[in-house]
Amino acid sequence: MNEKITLPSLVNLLAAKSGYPKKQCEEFLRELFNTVVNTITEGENVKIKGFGTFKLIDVEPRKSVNVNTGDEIEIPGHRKITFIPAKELAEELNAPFAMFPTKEIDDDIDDNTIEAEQLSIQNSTDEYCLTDDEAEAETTAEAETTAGAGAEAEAHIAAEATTTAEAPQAPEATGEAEVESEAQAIASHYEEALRPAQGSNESESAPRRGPQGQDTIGLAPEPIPTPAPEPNPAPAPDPTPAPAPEPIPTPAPEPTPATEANCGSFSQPAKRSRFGTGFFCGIVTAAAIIAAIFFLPLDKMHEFKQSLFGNKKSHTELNDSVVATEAKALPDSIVKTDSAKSEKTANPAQIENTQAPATASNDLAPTVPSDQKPKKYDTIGDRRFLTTMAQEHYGNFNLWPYIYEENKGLLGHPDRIRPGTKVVIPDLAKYGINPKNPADIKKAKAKGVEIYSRYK
Amino acid sequence: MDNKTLIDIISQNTSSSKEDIASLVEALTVVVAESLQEGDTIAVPSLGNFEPKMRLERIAMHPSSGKKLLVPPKLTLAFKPSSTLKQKLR
Repeated sequence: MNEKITLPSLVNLLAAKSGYPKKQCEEFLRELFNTVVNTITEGENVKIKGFGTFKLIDVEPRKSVNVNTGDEIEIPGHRKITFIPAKELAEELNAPFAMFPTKEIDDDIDDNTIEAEQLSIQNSTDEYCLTDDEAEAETTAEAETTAGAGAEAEAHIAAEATTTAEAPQAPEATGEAEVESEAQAIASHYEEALRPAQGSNESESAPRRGPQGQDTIGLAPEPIPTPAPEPNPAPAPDPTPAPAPEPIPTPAPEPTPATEANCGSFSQPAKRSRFGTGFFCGIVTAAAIIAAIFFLPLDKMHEFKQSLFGNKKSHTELNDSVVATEAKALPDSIVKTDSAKSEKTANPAQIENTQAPATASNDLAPTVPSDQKPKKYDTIGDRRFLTTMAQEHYGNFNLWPYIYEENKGLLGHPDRIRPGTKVVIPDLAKYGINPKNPADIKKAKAKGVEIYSRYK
Repeated sequence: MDNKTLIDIISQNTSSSKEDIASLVEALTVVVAESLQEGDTIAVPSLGNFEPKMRLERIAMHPSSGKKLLVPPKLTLAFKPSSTLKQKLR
């Protein structure tokens, strides 16, 4: 790299390449360059096939100013030599950049927006070292420590609410409106929970933990209080098992609050280690999720599910049928059967939907035999994109939108996914897609365009 | 002067046949392309330096439609004639 190749080394290279003796190669090179120089000095252009053209250009005399004295001088006319590389050589040299097309820029984008975008890209690259889990934990930690906790935390919650609202959208279009209102309810609940944090003093530890604790409950108890009239166990113990049956190691809203509470108490002694706290929270979350996967046997999950539904005595038979239909049918059919019943039973199922992080198949996990078919995971890398994964797992890179859809709670702009993000590779049958069907490929392409249009 | 006459002249001045010279020219272009791709500069004392250069991406205007275009970065070959050759040409 970046070496200077002189005539002797060029002779060696040429001899190795062509197989001719070195002496002949040297003779040839010297003669070649001499001929080129002589022909050009005689005033003729030289064209070497596959290499390029040496051209002579006449420069006309022009007037200029001597920078030292300020006198006007005339630069006499002369000839200069230029070299135009042959097309083949230029293309071969530019091969690393050949795949970039010339892009048209919209008129409404001016330099300022480009600069702002570059800045935001820079910022996001600064945070590359954090995984999503840690980043989330960090934002909450920030909300704790900064005086203007309200605004930031609210934004954070709004983001979370949208992700929870987005999650079920894919499988069930019918329940969308209800789900959204549900998400709004959760968001408003959050805001209420955080209001005391704004007023509270920073130095006090109790109020700081207070809203945090409410957060922990704020997410989880929603499914329980709504069907409250039934004799339920106290809402406090319930949310703790709630995160357990989720067999997905994604930044699930359920498990994180549990560690957020930890985080709140932990950041007390170590004040400056915001990053350390975030890191710690991430590790704790990961450990909790892994423990949940390995130590919770299947039948316990069933039991839990049964107990969740079984509490409502009046709807026991109906619930059985729900479990049965859930086992077979798609999520939207659940909504249908659910809405057929009274709202009370419909609520827990739906809210479970909203709580499910990113993947809609999540709430089916306890009943559907998802354990028989373990989910495939993949990790985004510097050189590993959604398209690479789609090519590998489905045999066609155009099918990447389905991986994106499966993980859209985690991912932002499809071109700016952080390396290290772990994504679920869905079974294509779930979307009814056959990679060998050209019509489905066309659909996938349209979906990709649609995903990009969300970020315009 | 085109490629054919160049090969004729070189084969006259050296002891090699035209076929040999033609294949040598071909091998030379391959060698030059390979070393330039690796980022090496080729320096020929009598002629000048051949150097690969990176052109950064830039925003250009389409001459006829007036639209802004983002031109991607590019690797090009730059030739800088030696001072002896420049002096000869004056």
